[in-house]
Amino acid sequence: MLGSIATPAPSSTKPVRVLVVEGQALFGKALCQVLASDTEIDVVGDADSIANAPLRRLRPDLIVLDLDGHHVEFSETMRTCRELAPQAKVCVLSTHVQPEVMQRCLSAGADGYVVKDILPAELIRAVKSVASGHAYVDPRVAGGVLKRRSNGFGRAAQNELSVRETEIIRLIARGMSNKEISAKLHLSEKTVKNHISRIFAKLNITARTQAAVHAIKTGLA
Amino acid sequence: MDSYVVEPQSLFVPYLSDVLARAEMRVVRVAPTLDVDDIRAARPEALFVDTDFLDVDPADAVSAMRAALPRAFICAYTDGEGARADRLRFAGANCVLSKRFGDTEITDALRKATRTALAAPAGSRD
Repeated sequence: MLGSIATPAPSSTKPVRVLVVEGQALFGKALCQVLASDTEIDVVGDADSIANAPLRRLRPDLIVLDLDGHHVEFSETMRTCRELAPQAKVCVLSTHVQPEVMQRCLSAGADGYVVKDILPAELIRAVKSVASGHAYVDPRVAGGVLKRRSNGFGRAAQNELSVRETEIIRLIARGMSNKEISAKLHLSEKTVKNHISRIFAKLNITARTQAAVHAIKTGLA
Repeated sequence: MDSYVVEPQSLFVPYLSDVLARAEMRVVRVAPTLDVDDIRAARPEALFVDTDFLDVDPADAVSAMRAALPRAFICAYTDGEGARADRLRFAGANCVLSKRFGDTEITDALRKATRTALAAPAGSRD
């Protein structure tokens, strides 16, 4: 499985200093074990969240960042990385193969995007590639992006949710009622209902629970 | 206990197997996706399933596993808490482990849950 956009640069004498930020404790340890098995990678630490990671002290070259365990907006997490470790590249680790999730991460400033079922050797290749200044995305996800572009010539697909609809589906996934959503977004309940009808039509679903499941599966919630 | 693991994250499996071994769960088979027929054929004593990667509803998956192997010990591993974890228990999981748990919490919880399950009267888990 080759997903790198460019071949990693020849190894330098200095190992890549990697910090692993992974909310799933066991998986984080497994990641450290895999990465530490490569002599060109130095795992300088691990943490369950960016908030608990001593970024300034560790000065990593690269952060392997779990997307799924965040309880704050990803863009906010990226801002923290940039502020406290401006030298570090960020390689996102995610369970999501949906192109829109990857695009959101890259737009927020991530340098790489890998899916968690990646093979150990490929993960090492991805980390080295990103550390050497190249982008890396999972080939399955990249393929989805290209397909969407070729189908729609860059325009949003007809069933793609708008920004407002995305906001609303997120709130549905949090269990909020129409009344609560309308209060939060300063919209009338009727407008919220209209948005929800459009969401249902676009996703070809009929129930709020299905909308919530979609939001969770696509990383919107 | 001979254990069957449903886990698509291949790089996680060696580490997970070590942790399970500390709770006397010997991994005899690993599958990347849920395959109930394969589970039925393998007849493990225990099932460990990462419920966050399934193509079906996690509770439905646990129900299907429970139906396939009524007496097996089933452990659901999940990022979900509260109601989501309760649904897995109601569906037939003997224990639900959070992905926030570290090695020691996982092994302690598994030891406790397997003891409880083995001590339960025959048929009480069906």
